[in-house]
Amino acid sequence: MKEIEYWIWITSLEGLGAVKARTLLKIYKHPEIIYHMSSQELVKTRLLTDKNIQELLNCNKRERISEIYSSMVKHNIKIISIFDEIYPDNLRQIYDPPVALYYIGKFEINAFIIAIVGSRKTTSYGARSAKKLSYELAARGTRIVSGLARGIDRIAHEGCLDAGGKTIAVLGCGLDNIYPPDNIGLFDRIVNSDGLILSEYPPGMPPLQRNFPARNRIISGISSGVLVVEAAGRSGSLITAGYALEQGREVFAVPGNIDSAYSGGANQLIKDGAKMVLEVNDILEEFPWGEKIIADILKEDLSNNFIKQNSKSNFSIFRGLSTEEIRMVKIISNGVHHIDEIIEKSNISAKEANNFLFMLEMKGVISQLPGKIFELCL
Amino acid sequence: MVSKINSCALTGINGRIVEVETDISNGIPAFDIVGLGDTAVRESRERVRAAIKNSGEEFPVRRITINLAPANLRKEGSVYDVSIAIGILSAKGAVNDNELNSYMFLGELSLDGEVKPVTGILPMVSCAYENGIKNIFVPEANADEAAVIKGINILPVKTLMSIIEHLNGKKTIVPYMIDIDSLLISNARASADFSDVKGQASAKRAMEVAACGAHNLLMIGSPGSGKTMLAKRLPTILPNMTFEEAIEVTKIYSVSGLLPQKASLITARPFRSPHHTISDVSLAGGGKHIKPGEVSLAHYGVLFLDEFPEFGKAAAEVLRQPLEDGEICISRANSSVVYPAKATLICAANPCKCGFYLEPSDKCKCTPRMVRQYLGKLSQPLLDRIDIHTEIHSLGYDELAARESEESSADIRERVNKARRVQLERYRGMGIYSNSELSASLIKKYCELDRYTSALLKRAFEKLGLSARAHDRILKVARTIADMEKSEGIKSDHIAEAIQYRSLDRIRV
Repeated sequence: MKEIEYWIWITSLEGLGAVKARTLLKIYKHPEIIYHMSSQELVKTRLLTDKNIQELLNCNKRERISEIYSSMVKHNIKIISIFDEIYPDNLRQIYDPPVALYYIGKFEINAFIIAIVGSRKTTSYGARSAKKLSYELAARGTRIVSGLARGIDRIAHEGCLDAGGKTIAVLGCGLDNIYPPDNIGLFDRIVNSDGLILSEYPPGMPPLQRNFPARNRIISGISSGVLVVEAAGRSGSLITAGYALEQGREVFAVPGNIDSAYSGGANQLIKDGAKMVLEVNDILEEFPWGEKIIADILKEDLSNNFIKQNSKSNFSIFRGLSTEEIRMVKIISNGVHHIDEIIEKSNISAKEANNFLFMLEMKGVISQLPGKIFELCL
Repeated sequence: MVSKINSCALTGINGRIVEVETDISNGIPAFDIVGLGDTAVRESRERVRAAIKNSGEEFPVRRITINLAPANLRKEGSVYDVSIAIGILSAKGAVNDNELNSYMFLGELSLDGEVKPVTGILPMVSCAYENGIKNIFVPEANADEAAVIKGINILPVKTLMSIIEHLNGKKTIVPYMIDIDSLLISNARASADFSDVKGQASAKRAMEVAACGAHNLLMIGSPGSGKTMLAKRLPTILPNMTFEEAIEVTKIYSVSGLLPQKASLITARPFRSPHHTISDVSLAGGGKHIKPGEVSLAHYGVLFLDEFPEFGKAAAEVLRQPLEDGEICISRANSSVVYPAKATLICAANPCKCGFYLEPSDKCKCTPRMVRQYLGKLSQPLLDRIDIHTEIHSLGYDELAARESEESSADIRERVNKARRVQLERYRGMGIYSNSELSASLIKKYCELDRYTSALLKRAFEKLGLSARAHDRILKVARTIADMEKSEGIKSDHIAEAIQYRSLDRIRV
């Protein structure tokens, strides 16, 4: 058997947690030794339950390994063990590092990495902030890691890719199976842009619910800091933030409205001592040592650049606002409003409102959200 | 001794002359009816025999053969009773038959010789008129319906006896007339009124636009936001029906036997709101004797489908073709029938399973996947046929309480009528009555944009990522909005508003 097959074997054992696997490896140095141990020897280790031992001695192990191996070949999945030199140091130092990592893409990870996490359901505010911060961090040379989930995760990856950065996605299932399936396009984009997709689970592992909290420890583990953009009172992002604290990482959070259910968790983090992030420098100044990597190459204000890029209006007919339109903008300026509310407050007809709001949208001043709700653009 | 009497058969909502031929000859006494009649036609032998006897005439004890020509056309129902009876009486010389072929006879007989009402009178009278028949006997109960057709003498009768007396010149029946113009104007409406609806300015505006141009409309909103309330009030602002429209609608109701007693013409646009358990057949039409479905019964009116995603897939999808073509062809083993189906479709739907997806609060517990699945039930081909999307927002208590007076239906209706008149004028003689019926070539002709406006439309498409199919819908709706202002050309603000009604093209979950 090849060495890699022993590593595949040890990651494919059901019920053998990362801590036990790590301890076994510390003692016996190589999975090959563990592979050939008899049941008496295994009992003597005093680490394993009967169930563990049964699993380790499972006679089908050869078939399982070859199955995983062929799937790896098919999907171009590679594996790296904790003894490898390129295994991220950050991750090696946590309490329960995965003994091996499966990956697709280019494994060069010892860079300055920030995790951006948040809830799957977002408001337009959350989406905007995640995109902006991810874009700016990436433009300054930071790597962004997230979980390839819907919502903030996705936006964080996209923001990084938009800035031409490299991003890392950590999955809670086997790499042969992209979950959620709507992010397959994003998955390809990450791989094609020299990014990296990681998972501690062997191919064939379905996206089980319990995998995701465990996946979060890797997200925080490989990063230097974790930024929580939007998280409800009870959210997986808070689990990531919890791991980050345990692992000694910095925790950052973007504040939200105090009455917003989408920001309850993020606000609570700030209250508990996480650093409030209003702009990208709030994150970067915490890592003076990272400056070498980051190198503030871009002198001009990226944030302004970003806005310019996103509201190009080279059509002369769309320039300038009428007095009526300015009135509408003032009404919309404090939050989001349904069209009926705007009609009510501005005392104009539904017809006029439809017209003004459309023109403002075309001019890039406001944007329309599902449900005929309007808000001011950045 | 052969006599020929005119009667009428129905195919769809059109009548077809049926000649009732009667031969009385010597031989073993018998009474046969041939000519592809159904059970009701065969049973008419017994009714006719008794009715003749009880009207004081003698039923000939000879060999009687009745042929309903053309013999290859299926004949249904009891409408031939009167003509068969008159045929027998004429063949035996009991009625003066000098001018019998200028008459048509319709009606069912009861055993005592009374003439009973039948369904489908209006299309039959209309057919008689088109075929140059001058006088028509109709059951008295159907007289109001028949009198809608001018230029033909409507002779309402109560008994077989009175027909015989009229034909023999003993007691003349006075032709029945009604004043149609007054019918079209007197238009008693339902008790609901738009002034009951507080707020919802944008939804009301969308409904007004939909009513003006007969555009299909989709309302999306959380439970309790007032979708059904708004839809129920839509009939109160629909424009008046033209006489031609009224005739066509009445024909449909007449053949389906849904015309109310003593009603002559349906002058209020129909409003049909079937429950979502409806089958595809009852929505499209069908059955052994093919009857119009809800989509035809809503012809020139409104077909309201509440809780649209709950409708069966088959039921919703049968609407696609009639919504496009304005008619529906129903084919069964023994016949096929075309019914008109130019209904305005109004749908109401929740945005997600729990219904709160579009609300700003976090009440909605649906995952993005569930939302997509729910909205996915609105099939794309069907959505493509809906011109106006509007989102309805729940009102808070303060908004409900603070509101004073709202515009009444009558005021809105007046504007709608004006806008519809503009369209009727423009499309005179083209067989269409509203902007929603515009074909691609007519859109090109009537929905031209100036340079500025088309630049705006182009930019909107780029910026909002609208789909190509939205293009024609936007132009049609913009045309209606322009008509509401009596504007000759389509201006930028008309286009702007029309684009606002394409919100479902942008919702991306």
